[in-house]
Amino acid sequence: MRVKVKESSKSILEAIRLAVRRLLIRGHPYHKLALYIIGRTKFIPDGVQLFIRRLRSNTLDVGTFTLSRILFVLSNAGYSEVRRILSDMHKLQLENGLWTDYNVDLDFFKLLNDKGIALRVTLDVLMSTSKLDVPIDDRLEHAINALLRTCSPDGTWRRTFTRSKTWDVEITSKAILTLNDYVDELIRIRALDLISKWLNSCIITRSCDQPWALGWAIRVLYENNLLNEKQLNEAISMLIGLQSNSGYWGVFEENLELTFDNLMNLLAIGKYEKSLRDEISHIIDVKTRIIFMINELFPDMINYLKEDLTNIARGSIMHKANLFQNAFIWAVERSLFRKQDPKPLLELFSHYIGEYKPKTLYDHAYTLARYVLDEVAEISNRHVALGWLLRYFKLSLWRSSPLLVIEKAIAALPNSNQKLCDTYIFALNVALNIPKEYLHKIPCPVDRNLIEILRKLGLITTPITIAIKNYNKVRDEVQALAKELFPDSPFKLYALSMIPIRWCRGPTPCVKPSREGYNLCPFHDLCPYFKGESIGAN
Amino acid sequence: MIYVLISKVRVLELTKPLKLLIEEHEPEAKEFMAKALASIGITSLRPMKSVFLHTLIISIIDLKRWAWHITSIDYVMSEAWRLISHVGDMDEISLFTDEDLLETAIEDTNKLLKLNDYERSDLVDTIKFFAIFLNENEGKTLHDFKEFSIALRDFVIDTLSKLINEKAYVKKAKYFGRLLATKRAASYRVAQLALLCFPIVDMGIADTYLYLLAKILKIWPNINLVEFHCPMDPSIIRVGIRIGLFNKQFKASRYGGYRYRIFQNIAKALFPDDPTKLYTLRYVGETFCTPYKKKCDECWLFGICRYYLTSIG
Repeated sequence: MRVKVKESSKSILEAIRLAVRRLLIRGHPYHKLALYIIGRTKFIPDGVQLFIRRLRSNTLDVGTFTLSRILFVLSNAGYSEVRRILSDMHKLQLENGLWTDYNVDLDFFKLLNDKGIALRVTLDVLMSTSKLDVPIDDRLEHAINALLRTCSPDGTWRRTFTRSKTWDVEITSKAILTLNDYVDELIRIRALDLISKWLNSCIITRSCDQPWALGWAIRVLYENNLLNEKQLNEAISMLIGLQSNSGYWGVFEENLELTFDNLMNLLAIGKYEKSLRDEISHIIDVKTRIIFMINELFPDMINYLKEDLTNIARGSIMHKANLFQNAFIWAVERSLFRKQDPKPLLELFSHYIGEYKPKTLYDHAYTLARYVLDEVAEISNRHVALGWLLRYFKLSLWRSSPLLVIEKAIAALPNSNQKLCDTYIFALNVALNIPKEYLHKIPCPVDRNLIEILRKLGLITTPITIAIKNYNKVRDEVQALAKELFPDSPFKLYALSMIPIRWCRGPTPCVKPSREGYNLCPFHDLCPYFKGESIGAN
Repeated sequence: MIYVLISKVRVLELTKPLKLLIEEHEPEAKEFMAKALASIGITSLRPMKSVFLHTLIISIIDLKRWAWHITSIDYVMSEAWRLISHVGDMDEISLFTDEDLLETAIEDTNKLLKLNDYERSDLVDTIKFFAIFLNENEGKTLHDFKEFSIALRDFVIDTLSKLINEKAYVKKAKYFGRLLATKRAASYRVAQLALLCFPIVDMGIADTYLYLLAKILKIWPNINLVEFHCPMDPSIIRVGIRIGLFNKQFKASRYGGYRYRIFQNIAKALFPDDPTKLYTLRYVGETFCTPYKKKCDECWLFGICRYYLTSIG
């Protein structure tokens, strides 16, 4: 009989909840699709549907490693259409029977040599085939034999790291889980004994030399009944301790693949399917409501912003103010820090407008880039943005991707920031009719109001303490969400910023009295901060 | 600034005798480097373009010698010679624009053969791009340092920014930006930043390259060396730590780093007219003050060397 994890342990539920949220917000489309399938829901947002279409039409332009991960992740969710990837994988198999990728730029993979990467990719493929119940054919047998050939006599897999000769716990655990029927019994016992000793030493010393392998080690020992209750709980608490506050696992950087693996390992150890489904369905409810409400809020917001832009044009002291200048003033007002003086930036832009008089979007991209490179470069302190602008300009990208050039040109202005770039491009979209083919490239501006509502709804997992120091972390989360919900026009998500302006502030937050009675915030039933109960508005 | 890492008293003690000793032995050190370069045929008598390209190759191998396990300056020269001679005629610059030839030449070396894919492609790209630059420019441009720096800047901004691959550009974008923000008049700074834009070139390589051309090969006569930076070579740091000029935590530093600036300030404080004179310590590091076999009895710095004084004590 297998040992049980402590039922009262809330931290496991919290870890699963955080990981699910992180994956459903920041994850790749295949992570999201897998979780939607696990959650037994029919909701599939446009961004994920786009991924499915590309998967069906075989137009996914990704490397072997990503392909193996897609296969592994979706096979865990039982998504049978993923079988077509297997035929692609057969084409990529090496003569020695393994699969590999030379271009894996991910977290702890930097510590691995070619052998380490090849064994991991091959194991992912074999694990997926066993999940999908694919019969073992010659090719798969060739892969299994190749894996077994690399096994040391002590039952471990080693020499997979660039600078260390230590044995690889992750590969050994995965191999024992996957190749159970093929591995010699003596070797299996030896390997399990070594994994058990490794885990015990980790628990005793409270430190781990291969933290990425912890989840797999716990799982293989649990499935072979080699852990007592105390060991299991301590190992799980150690695994949870390695999770970041934002919900992801990672050694040097955020690693979504490891996060998914650890989530699946936790689910395999305890019975947490219900809480997992509850969490997924809650996030789906929020996302469905957002998609529904945006259609209503977006036209309102555009009218509101157009009015704002007109007011700027009226109140402008500058002579001959034009659309570009109004959009820039509007963006500067919303993007700079309170203590930052907007005057130098406005003067630079005004000088540019006076000198170059841009008329079209392409004209604007070309002239702004030239102005920044020729006249502003010497006073700019944004060297990285300047470098990129130079490259894009020399490659004449202003013809094919004018928005990218404009973004880099704005970023290269002295004391500029990412928020200003996003907001300016959004303002340009409101002020000008940007061609349809570029709409999917317009980012969603991330301001205080949008962050406030998304955080309340649980769609931002980065803790405030980290978000204050690094704006880009929150920005990335919001952009990932925007691209999932509205892949053709991600900026639409910005309409959600109208909610805090209308509902979250004032003497009666969440509730607005009217002549007929009272109106409730459209997200009141999904928001944990709902304050309407006190007046019986529920 | 100097006094942040080293004791004020020690610097004051060292300054005068060290200056005198370095000035006295500088010609010896220059001859040592010139001989090393001449051993593979690089002298000022060679065609200009050839000297420019092969000095860059030597500077790269020299500064990467610790990482690439090339133990001494003789091995540096022999490794460079293997690479250059396997490409073909060393004066035929157009051969060095051929990627395949460079790749095969690397296969014939002893140590460069073991470079990983990224380092290898960076090395090949750097040599190829620099050869393209030399092919595009006439001999006249190369004879004057100011014109050379401006020509290199223009090449980097107009051509290299397009040629370099996306992955390498991620690391180099800041140098392109800095180069744009730097005024053309500051020749040394412009040349240094322009060199830094090449894939494998770092601060040490850029400084060493300009030092070798200006001071050892004397390509640019009557050049003012006040602006020049002293190359921050690990051998100099080793000797500096042993004589007590730097403290033990002092290591080679990245571009613009705190220690790099301190190092340059020390060089400028000792030799305001020509900070590169401090590079003489490299000669000591290569000949007497090697990491394991120290020849303290033969070294002309023994009188002021803290290591020697404590070891005999």
